[in-house]
Amino acid sequence: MRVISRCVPTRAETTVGKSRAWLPALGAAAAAVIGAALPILSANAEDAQIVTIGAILPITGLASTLGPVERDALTMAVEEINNAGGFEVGGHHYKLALKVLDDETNPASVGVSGFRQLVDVDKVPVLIDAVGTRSYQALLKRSPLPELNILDSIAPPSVMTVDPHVFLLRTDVFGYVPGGVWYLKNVLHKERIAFIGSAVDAYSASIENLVKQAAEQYGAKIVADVNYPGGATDFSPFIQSATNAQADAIYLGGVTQEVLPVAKQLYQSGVRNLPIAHSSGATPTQAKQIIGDPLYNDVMANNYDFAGTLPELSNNPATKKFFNDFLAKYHEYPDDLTMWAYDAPFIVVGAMQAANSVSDREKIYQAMLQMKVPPKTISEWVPAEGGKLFHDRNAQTLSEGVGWCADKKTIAPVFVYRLDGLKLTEQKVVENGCKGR
Amino acid sequence: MLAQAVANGVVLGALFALLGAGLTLTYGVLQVPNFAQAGVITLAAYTMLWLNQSAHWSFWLAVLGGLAMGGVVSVLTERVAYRFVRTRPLAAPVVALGMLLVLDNIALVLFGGDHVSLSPPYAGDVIHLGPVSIPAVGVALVATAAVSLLGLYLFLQRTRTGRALRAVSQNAEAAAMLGVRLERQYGIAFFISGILAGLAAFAYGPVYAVFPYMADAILLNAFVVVVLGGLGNVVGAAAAGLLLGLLESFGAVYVSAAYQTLIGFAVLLLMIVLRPSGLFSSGERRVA
Repeated sequence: MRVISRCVPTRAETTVGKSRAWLPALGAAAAAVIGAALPILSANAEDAQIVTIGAILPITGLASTLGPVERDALTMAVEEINNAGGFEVGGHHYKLALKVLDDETNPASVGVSGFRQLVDVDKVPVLIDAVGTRSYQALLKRSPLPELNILDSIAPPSVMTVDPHVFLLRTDVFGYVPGGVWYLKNVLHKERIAFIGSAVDAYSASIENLVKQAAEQYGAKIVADVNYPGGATDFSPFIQSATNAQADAIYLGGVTQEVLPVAKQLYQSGVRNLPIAHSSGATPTQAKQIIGDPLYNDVMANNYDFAGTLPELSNNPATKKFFNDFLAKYHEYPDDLTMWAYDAPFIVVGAMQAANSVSDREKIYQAMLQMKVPPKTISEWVPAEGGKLFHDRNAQTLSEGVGWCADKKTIAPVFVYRLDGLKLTEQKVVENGCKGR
Repeated sequence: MLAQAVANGVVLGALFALLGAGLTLTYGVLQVPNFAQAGVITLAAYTMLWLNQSAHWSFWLAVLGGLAMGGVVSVLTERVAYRFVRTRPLAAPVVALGMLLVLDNIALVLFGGDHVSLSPPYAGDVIHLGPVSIPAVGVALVATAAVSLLGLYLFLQRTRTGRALRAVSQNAEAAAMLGVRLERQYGIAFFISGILAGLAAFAYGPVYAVFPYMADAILLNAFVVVVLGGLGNVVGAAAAGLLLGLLESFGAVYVSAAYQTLIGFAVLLLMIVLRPSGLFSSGERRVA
């Protein structure tokens, strides 16, 4: 387990001058002594104590397209909170620090040791997690603390069933996959859908399940349903299954690193006129990197991606600002996951303030259940009853389908929607979305 | 459907044959199951990628650079690792796996874990032969395998160095007594194996993606090819590669695509039980 990053206030913020250079050292020594009782807090010269929150993210491994940008977004939010002066809880002044560990997309072994480090040794008050929650069930039962999952939308069962302390900071697959099938059937008028997914990826399996349910509900037919085995790199037999079944649309299951190579081989095999739908959240940057330049522009031309709303396409000035700031700072396209990750530290701070505690895990948990949408969040959360952030521990946004603008080599909205089960409760088909890009 | 399955199988088989030939060559002369070949492929692919995209070499020059890197890295694996286990064959698989981990992690440290694309100029082209569609990258793969394997065969049969390699493979001590320099032959075998790894990187990289573990899984299929073709038998590896590719392709279409990989390993188990010396083996150690 490697510490990937540690975002703490800068030296300039924590020291008062060279002549008193020994003071922080003394403070640190004192903090070390007191640390056994209050290890999450440390003093600095401005009387602003530091609260460390923990995050376990897939920085490497299969989900490595997701973890690093989420880490960057969390770091950016923590820096902004601290640059604005930190926050007040119970009349005390605090700054936030972030300790990120890499689970190597292997939560069952690497992630578990990271959980023990952050929760049992570092005693963080809140844990932010991505792919590991399902592996931490026993650990959460033994050491309960509020855990914000910012990635795992696999359902059923939802990640929230793992433990009552788990919050999901995004919409789960029920909230966006059926919208993709609805769009294929009702807007693109496609009725024969082939599904190609991964046999070893639970996310792909949950998409497959929902695509089949949604197709039945909306009157489309699944004409081929194939799952390639783990480690497969040649998808030609699976592509052949789809073409043999005379599909008029293809839905791909899996994450970006699974979906884009299949899309590439579909194109290379001559499948060029069928709409290719998926729910990967692939960004233009990732498409260029994984498919290659200039091929990616042709491969992506018929792609439709149905997931959360994207910050670039938002009309909210704060969300737009986040998009531009993040892109400028990290040179990485911020997607829905990035936006949700950015909001997580603001939610944690809001819960601590409502709980009037930076260390009491149970009080923070209770406050989180009741908290309203924090004002500085930028994800345009759809509030629950009474303006609460969480709908039974699930924070939700609208979902969005995006298409590809070949002339601008980027994405544009085609469909914005909200689902209640398989029923669309809000829907807006966006015509000529590329014109606004 | 049948014709498309044959075409898919030939493309897959060509890849297996190319990978299998490199493995069987090093096994023939040193009796090492060279798992590190997957790491050599990865480093060759990254070299091509870096030369093409960062150093802005033309794609074809970058490929030559990658081939050279493949040869050099492969020779290094022999010089720094395998040479110490020549007389300890039981240790060889462990050393080979260790070398694979070392090479994969060198790639991970140098280039990161992201999937990136190696894109030749023909990456988006497709060849239509009646009802059959074959990606141009697949055609390039078949052509590369055919030319490479024919060249390797002619080299082993028609050149003095090739005959020396075969002699070392059949009986190293006798070859040494007749004046063949063993160290040199081991180096040549690994260099050629590295070039074949580079060719595999060139042909296979554009099909999927380049990442640190890009060849680890596919190399297992290549070992099936080596066993099927007879250990140390280059011609057998080529034939077995094609056979396995066709079997997997037909199995995927007529049984279930989900069992594609399983078919290869089922064949391996059958071979080990029924004909452990391989389909094309004469019962003697050899390279040819």
